[in-house]
Amino acid sequence: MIEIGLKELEAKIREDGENEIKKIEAETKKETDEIKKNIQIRANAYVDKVRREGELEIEMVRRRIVAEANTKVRELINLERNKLVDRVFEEAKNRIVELNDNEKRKILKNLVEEGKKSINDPIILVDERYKGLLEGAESSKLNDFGVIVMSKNKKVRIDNTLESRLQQLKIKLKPKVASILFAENGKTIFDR
Amino acid sequence: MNELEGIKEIEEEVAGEIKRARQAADARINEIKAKETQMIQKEVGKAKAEMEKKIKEAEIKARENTEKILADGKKQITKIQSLASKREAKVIELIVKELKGD
Repeated sequence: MIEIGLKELEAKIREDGENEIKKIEAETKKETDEIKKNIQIRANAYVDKVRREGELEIEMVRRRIVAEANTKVRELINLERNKLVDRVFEEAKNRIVELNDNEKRKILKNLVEEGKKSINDPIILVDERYKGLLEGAESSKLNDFGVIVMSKNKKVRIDNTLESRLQQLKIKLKPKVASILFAENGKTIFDR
Repeated sequence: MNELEGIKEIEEEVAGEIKRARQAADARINEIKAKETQMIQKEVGKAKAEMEKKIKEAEIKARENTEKILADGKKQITKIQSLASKREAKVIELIVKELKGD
């Protein structure tokens, strides 16, 4: 009778032990699951942050590349416009040099008159090639069409040679020239 | 007396098993906690690699799209060359008039 009681007791002790171990294992699983879940939540938060920043970076990269391309196109167009304006002024210079003497005389007289607005009773210098077109002018080696208007004491000098005047006109007329050359439906391509 | 000692031994044996089970549980929990940073870094590393790949793909696609922008630019240049060519006589006339003071 006692023997049976001892065996039952032994079995009970072992069963209780096994139950305790199962309980520990179940609690451990629950706790590790909870820890893993929290780790995953934290990891997801970091991952979301990385993805959000990545999406922003993608948008910035796209915008930067498109902006660079637009800037490049704008620069190329402006470069071409400037080249075309320069070419027209160069053509104008060639055309003026090829004008007949009457027209050249008219230009020379106008250049002198413009100079006289700033200098009273000036000395007029003209290239030796055009001396015959401008009465009263002194011959000089200007190597250019046009005149130099100079005060008698030589302290004030206005360079109205063709090269110089064209440079001035290029600045003065640039908007108008650009408008004539490039305007389309009332707008100039890439107006600056 | 021997039976009681036997019971005691069993109790000690079971207690030992429970103790080892607790130690194993603690070790398992500590192991997972210790790996937390590593696990997060692994996930973040994967996400970073994925985003870097996407950024590179977006860059390649954007560069492909810029070819259209550049092609449009070339068309515009051809157009302004054509416009300028047709209108340069008018500008030359304007410049000559300015020089003549007309």
